[in-house]
Amino acid sequence: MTIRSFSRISKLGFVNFWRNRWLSLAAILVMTITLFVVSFFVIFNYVVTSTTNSIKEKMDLTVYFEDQLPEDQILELKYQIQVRPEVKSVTYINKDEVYQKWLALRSPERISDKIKNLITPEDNPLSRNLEIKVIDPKSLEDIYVFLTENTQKYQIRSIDYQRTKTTITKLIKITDFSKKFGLIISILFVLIAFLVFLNTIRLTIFTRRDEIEIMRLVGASNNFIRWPFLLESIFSSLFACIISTLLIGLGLYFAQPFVLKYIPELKLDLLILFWKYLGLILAGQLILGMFISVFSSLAFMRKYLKL
Amino acid sequence: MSFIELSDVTKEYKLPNGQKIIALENINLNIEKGEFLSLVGSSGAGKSTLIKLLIREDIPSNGKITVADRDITKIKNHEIPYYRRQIGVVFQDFKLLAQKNVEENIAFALEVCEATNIEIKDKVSQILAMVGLVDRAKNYPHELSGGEKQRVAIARAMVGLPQILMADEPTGNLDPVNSQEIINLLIKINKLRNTTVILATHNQEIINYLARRVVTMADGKIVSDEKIGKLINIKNKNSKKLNDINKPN
Repeated sequence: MTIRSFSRISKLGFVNFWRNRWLSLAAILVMTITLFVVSFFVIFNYVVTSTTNSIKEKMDLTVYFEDQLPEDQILELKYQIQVRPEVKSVTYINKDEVYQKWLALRSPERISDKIKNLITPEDNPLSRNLEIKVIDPKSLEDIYVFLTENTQKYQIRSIDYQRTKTTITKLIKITDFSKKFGLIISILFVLIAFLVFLNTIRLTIFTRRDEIEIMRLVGASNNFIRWPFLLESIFSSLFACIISTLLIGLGLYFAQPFVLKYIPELKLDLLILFWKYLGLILAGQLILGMFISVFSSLAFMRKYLKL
Repeated sequence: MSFIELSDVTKEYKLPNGQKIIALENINLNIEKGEFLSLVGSSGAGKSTLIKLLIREDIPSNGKITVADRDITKIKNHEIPYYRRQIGVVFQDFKLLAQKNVEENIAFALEVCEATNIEIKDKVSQILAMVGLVDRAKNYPHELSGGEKQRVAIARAMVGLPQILMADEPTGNLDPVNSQEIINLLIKINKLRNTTVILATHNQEIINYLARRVVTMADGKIVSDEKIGKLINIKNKNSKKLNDINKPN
């Protein structure tokens, strides 16, 4: 294709796009909604999955023992747990270390001297404990069950597991749901967009069948007839892509406070995420948009224009 | 070998109910370069089908059509546009683009052929002068009379300097005065540029006025071929059925 015909074809495509602006607007809107919905679920899944993973990695289980339990027994239990294949590491924290940890944790501004002096190396009520880290957080449940069965034997005061467990289950539930639901909704919207684009093209071809007939009569090549229609679809999906990206940005901006409120564990800054992945979001949407518009245009033209 | 040759050309259509209609039957016709030929016959005689085959809108069921030594039934789909650029076609309903003015309508035929802008400007003003529409260049089709519209259509058909001009009932929608003007324009084109003109009509006055070769068709067959023809009135058996086929979908 020469530059001359390219510029003529682009002009035709743009003029057609403008002359059909209401039809084009409908196509843009449907494409925008489709791109937005698909991107929304992709981003949502990405955020939830990646955060779930990072939380899973940090997950561990801590067992606290009564003070009268001999250290031998704690070490025995430590050994028993350590040999389990799913366990990554078990660390024993004795009285001294607990105290040191407490010292490191407490900040002088917050804790008054009175409370500070409640715990001294001589009079230390803090429990000795075992910190257990595993390869797969799912196996924490087994260890938890094992420990509860032996609470009496090892004089276990408490097991710190339930708190993190609730967070994880909450996140896993969200991820599973959003994956399934997102996929179904995305496919549905892509199909709708296909149908609308097919019909947009059909209406355009119908309103312009005289023009197409004349183009054929005067010897316009198939590409010359085909490309203005393709360009029209491409313009529509380009606009849709820009609008959808703006909507995503706005959506994330407004979603931020809710995310912080309901899933504070995520500690997410959605806007930073948006800027970081802006290029990818735009490119992904463009590819999907072009695929839908060009594919539906070509499919239709092949059938009805016999091009 | 003649410029345009049809040998044993047959065109059959199948109706949705399976019935076969023979639109053209064993047509043998030779047309020389620069000839002005009128194709006569009532509706359904096969004139439009013949023109459709000549502009390669359709292919014959049987037989061979050569134009300038080329068998056009064997042209590949992607080559059709290039073949059409050598032929100008004019129809009864003008087929002008309503949203383009006279100048743009004519230029459109050159734009699709990748002509340069300078070329387009030159050729359009030349052809406008030839069809006598210089002062109507900026008008839109709805601002023109029927005769003027047909002159625009002829200008568009001729602007690419084709070797053949086909006119399918070009005066069908025009009054006698305008019809006369259009026919005069076709004669002028034929004389000035040595363009082969094929005119399909059923207007007896035009035939008599032209006093040129007349090929008369009826029921898809050539019934007479005269050097200086007169219109013969022959009724068709299947004119109604054929009209149904030729209707646009």
